[in-house]
Amino acid sequence: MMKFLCLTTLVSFLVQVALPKASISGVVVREGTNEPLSEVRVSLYSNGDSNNLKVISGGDGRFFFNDLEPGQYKLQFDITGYLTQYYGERIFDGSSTSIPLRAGGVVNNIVMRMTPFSAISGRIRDESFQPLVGVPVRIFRYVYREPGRRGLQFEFDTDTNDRGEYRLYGIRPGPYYLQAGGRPLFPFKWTDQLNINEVVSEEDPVFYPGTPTLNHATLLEIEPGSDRKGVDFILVRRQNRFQIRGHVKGIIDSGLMVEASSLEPRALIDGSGDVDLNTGLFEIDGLVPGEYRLSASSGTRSAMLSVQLGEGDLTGVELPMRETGTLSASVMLDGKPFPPATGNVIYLTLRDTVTGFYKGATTRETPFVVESLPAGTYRVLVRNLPSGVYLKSATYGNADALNDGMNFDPAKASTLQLQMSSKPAALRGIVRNARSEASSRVAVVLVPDRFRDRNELYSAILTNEDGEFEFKSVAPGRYKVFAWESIEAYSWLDPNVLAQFEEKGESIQLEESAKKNIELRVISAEARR
Amino acid sequence: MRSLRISVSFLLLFSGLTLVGQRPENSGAIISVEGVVTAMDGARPISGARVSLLKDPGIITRSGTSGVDLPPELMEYLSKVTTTDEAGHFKFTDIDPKAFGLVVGANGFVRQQLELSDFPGREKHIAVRLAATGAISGVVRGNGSRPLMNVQVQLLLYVYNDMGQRSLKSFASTQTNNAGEYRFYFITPGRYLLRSGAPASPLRDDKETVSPVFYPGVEDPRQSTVVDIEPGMDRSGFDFNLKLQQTYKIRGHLAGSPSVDSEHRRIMLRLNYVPEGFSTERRFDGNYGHAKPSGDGTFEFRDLVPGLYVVTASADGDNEIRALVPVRVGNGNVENVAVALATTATVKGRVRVDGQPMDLQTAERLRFQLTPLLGGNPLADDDEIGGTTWNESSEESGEFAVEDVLPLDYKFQAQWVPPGYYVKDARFGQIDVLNHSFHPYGGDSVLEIVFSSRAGKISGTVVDDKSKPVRAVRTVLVPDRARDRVDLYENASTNKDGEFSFESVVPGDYKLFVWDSTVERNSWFDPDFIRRFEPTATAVHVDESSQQTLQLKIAANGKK
Repeated sequence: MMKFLCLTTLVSFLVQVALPKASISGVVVREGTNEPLSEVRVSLYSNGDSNNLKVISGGDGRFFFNDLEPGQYKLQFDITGYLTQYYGERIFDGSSTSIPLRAGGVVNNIVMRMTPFSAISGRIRDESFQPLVGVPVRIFRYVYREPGRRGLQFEFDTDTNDRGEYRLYGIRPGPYYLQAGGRPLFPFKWTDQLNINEVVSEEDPVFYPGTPTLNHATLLEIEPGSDRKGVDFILVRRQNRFQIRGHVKGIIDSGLMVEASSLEPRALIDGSGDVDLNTGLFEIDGLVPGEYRLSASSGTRSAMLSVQLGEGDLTGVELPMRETGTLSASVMLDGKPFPPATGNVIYLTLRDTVTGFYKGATTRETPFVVESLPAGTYRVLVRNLPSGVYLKSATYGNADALNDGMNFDPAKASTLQLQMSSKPAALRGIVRNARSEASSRVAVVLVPDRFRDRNELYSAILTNEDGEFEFKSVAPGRYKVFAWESIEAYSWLDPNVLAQFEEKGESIQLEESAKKNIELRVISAEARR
Repeated sequence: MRSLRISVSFLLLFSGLTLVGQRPENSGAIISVEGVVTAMDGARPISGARVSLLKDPGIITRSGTSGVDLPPELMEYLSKVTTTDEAGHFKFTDIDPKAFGLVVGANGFVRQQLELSDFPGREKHIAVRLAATGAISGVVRGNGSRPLMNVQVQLLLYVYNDMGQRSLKSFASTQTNNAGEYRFYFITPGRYLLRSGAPASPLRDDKETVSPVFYPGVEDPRQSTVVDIEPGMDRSGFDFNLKLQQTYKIRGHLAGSPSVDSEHRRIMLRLNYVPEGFSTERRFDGNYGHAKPSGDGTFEFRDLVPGLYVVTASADGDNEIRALVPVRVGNGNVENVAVALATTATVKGRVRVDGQPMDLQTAERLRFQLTPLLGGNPLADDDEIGGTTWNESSEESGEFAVEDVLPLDYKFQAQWVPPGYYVKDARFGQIDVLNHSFHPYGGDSVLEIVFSSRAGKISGTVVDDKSKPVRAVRTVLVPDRARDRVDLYENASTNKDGEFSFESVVPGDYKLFVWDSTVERNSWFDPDFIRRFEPTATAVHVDESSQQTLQLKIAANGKK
């Protein structure tokens, strides 16, 4: 009898060994209120397998996946009215945390916070308070973009109805600008079925609450799950038009024109004017307020200038024609010519520190030159370096072009010398939370202590499942290291954002070929608020 | 309710004509056109109305008052545009004497088209009265109370196509917002059906599947509540409560001749949805995707709501191997659908002419069309579906061939028959293909077409009650018998002298109808519509080689 029992125990034990199944379970809640969310579609993806398992969360927000094979899993959550998200998705869209499952492993502590969509609604009327029908209303998300400047990212649009009403929904929380009027993206509405009785008029575009320029627009901070009503506009059929006047300085060829291109989003009002051969005077009419880029080019000379046009003519603009020339560059690695055999194509970008105009070249082309570069002061940016290589210096003439900028004069052309080094520093470490647990999928960012306008010195990486990270190729120097649980991508390039966290960064000095280890405390998502 | 629609459009056209009484009699070059736009009562001026002067008559003939074929923006691009002032007044000066018409639109009113030739004279003073449009709105909820967002809502009306099929056409389409709300506005008064369901766009957050239903929640459009849109009406509460739909799969396998099996790798399958009440012609409601059969020839389409689908298969870039299988999904997966791939066949035919031989020049455009039928309905004009096959007749030998024929039932039609001729007889073996469908695949019969050069001719003039010729009215010849024979119908518009003619009339008994230009195209295929006007029609008997000239009267109010 005893023997028999032992045998069955052994058999059942063997069965368990042969087929140990794992499980994942957790709860889905609404971000902010933490109320459980039912009817959420939860999809489980096994790494390397495009098929998925699906379950629906119950009334208590709970979900279960049983009988799983060991492996790495990802979870996706999806319900109408909420942002579709992966578990552990932070900082960069689409990045997610894998859940490692051992044979027989049980992961039962998943808490998924779903971000509810928001809505904005209002009415668009004309100056006599009559509803404006079929007016496009669009929202732009105000995002950080590489290289660290905030910019507008078009999200989507809608049209006003016969009552002048619009409603934008499905909006992710965040900062937004709202714009109405202007030409629709597609002048003929082939995409939507048109209404034969609708008469569509076209108004000049304005930002909420009624300005053509982004500078004066109101930034709407949209909270998760909010329903913002009464965001009303008055649209003027045709705004006041103004003039930009000035003169071109330098040698003027016949037929020279100055062009004004609007830098405001979706503004289609551009203009141009002839340049008087004798006086250099130019006039550009019919412009609405806003930021413009003035440009002129003729033969080997060109001019470029960004100007702000306000509620009135802009006069006395001086547009110097500059000679252009060819800049040669050379790349050295550890004092020897850079071997192109490494297969890496290096990108060089020269950015005009005054106009923002930029030009570039790559080592794919030989000779390595930047052509038609106007005289001016430029910031030097080098990207796509091979692993284990960093940009040690860039010299132009005798100047430090990397930190002081490069003064380019076509008449006194020199060669831009880019010195690479194969002795970068390396930094590895682990990030822990307040309870000393490893923090996976948090953003570790290296911020230069000096030269904070040199974007190429910043590095960002996500920690792995065990909270570890490694920067393999860092330019030697002094840095601060931050570990954020949640932060908008690239916002660390904004000094205002960084200022909020300055004392939470860990200072570190990295010498050539140094290999350092560091332990960081995660800056929790709540720390900002 | 169709009558309401028609009478409204009559009213519109002839409200413009009521002021013709004061028009100057001379008809020199036009130098200016001016007028006043008011609401229907004639008292309330409409300011800010957009008035477009059309430069090209071709624009109008392609659009028509009730047509929505040409976008207003495009139409206005091809014209000169002005806007009415506070008093509703507009004026065009120095206009091209060839200017053809005016289009008047204002938000809240039915867009109207006027032909300038209706107002001969040097200065044209035109009073334009616009009928108010209507609006309806509602909320779409799912499973009781929850609002459904991004669900499509369509406003539909019945139309007849060139094949004589009655089917639903979308007047407008919108989608619900996140509160489940939808709103249709600026609707031309008339009779409509409302339909909701099916996600409007896969791009946004619409993950829920709902089976499309007609208002207030029926699958069959014949049981749907008809929505009467009246001028100025703005009604809310057209709410839908949709059932969140469990979705199903269609699974099947490729079948067919052994030679076809080796082609599995090259086969692509496509699934289209045919909603209730919609025509099987041309456009299906949605392309439900493509599938590639697996190595053993099996395939699967997922996430389908109940309804009629068509699975089509074709070998990559090859018209010779194809299949077309209708599949109805009920409340469950559909398994074991056999998609029998067939090598398409060629049907041979012979043409014989009874009487004068056909002139090559005039027969240049002659085509024979074989249209596949799906559940008795023609599946036309979609080459990808494997339907339409054309072939030019070969005049010298009198033989022709129609390629890419599938194992399906077909309908025969001869198109662009040269003037003076008609198809006297058409047979496939023993089958009279003029009056019956036939299955040409696999048979060795030949299509025998007999043309006769002794078609009848009818010509005539349409005049008003003052015996003045009326231009741009529609004359339609409708057969007395065999009213399902679309090929027996003839229609023509009168020219500037009020003249019309039909050159190739099949001998037989007909009724001749006259409608103003606002008559909806193909509405004469609607038996109810014809029945209503039948007493006003002129009976015409056509014999072989007969020629007759008629004079028809049309009253200024549009009723004959």
